[in-house]
Amino acid sequence: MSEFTTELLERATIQALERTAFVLVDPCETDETATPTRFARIEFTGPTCGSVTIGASDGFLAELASSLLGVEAEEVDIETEGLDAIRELANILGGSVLNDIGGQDSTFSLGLPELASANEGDAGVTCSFDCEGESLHVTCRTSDIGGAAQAA
Amino acid sequence: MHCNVLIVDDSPILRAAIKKVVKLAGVDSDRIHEAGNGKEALELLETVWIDLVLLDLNMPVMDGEQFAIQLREREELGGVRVVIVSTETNRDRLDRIRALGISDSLRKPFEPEDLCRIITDTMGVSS
Repeated sequence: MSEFTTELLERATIQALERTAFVLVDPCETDETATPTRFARIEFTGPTCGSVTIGASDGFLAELASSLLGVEAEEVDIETEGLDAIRELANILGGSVLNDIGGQDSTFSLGLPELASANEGDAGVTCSFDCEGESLHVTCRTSDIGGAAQAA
Repeated sequence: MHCNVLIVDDSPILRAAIKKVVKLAGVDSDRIHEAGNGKEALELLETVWIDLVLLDLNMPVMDGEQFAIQLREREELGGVRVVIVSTETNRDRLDRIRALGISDSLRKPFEPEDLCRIITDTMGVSS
């Protein structure tokens, strides 16, 4: 099983957004962008257990959903389409994380993405992104990668 | 392209994104159908002939694996082709599902061009 680092999480997030929705983001410091207001989380089990949590601002979700739907951001209903978009992003990133740490012989099982009330804190591997002033934060927690974030 | 495609995914927004790609592959809008889980998909297959199913695996109510098992138990639906479009990474589970006669698989996140190619290859149409 591979060590999971901030660089891997950044790469997985950028790739997921570019491939799925043609949304481009730049890695940044946590406090440089709008505060995330919507959260989604997906849990996984296997050789280690853990979760991937996404936090995003409404503006970022409008951008993401508009790209997926092929409509203007102003036409997006955040309460339905925006929240569906953040759940699906958690799903895709969860799969990417497991592919990175489990490799070709992965024995991990991914749960279903769910909306969360807030982030759970800073433990784990975390990265933040800027999308024209809007924010996306991604955190991956497992039972054995808590120190990897500090090492990366 | 004269084929009926069924997109099975619990995320409406992902179904919309996949539908755009299916249209790019040359399938008319009125030939593209949607279901939010395996149970809905099986119900739809009782009323509409489907040539190709684009199937997510991790879904509530009835997941993609259970759908594929039940689909293969129905002889009258033996000609329906299935392509997995999922985040699934568990090798044992993927092997089990491939053994059911799945035509191809594509892991999310995917390039739209890759899905277009798989659709045209699976349906035997040159792009």
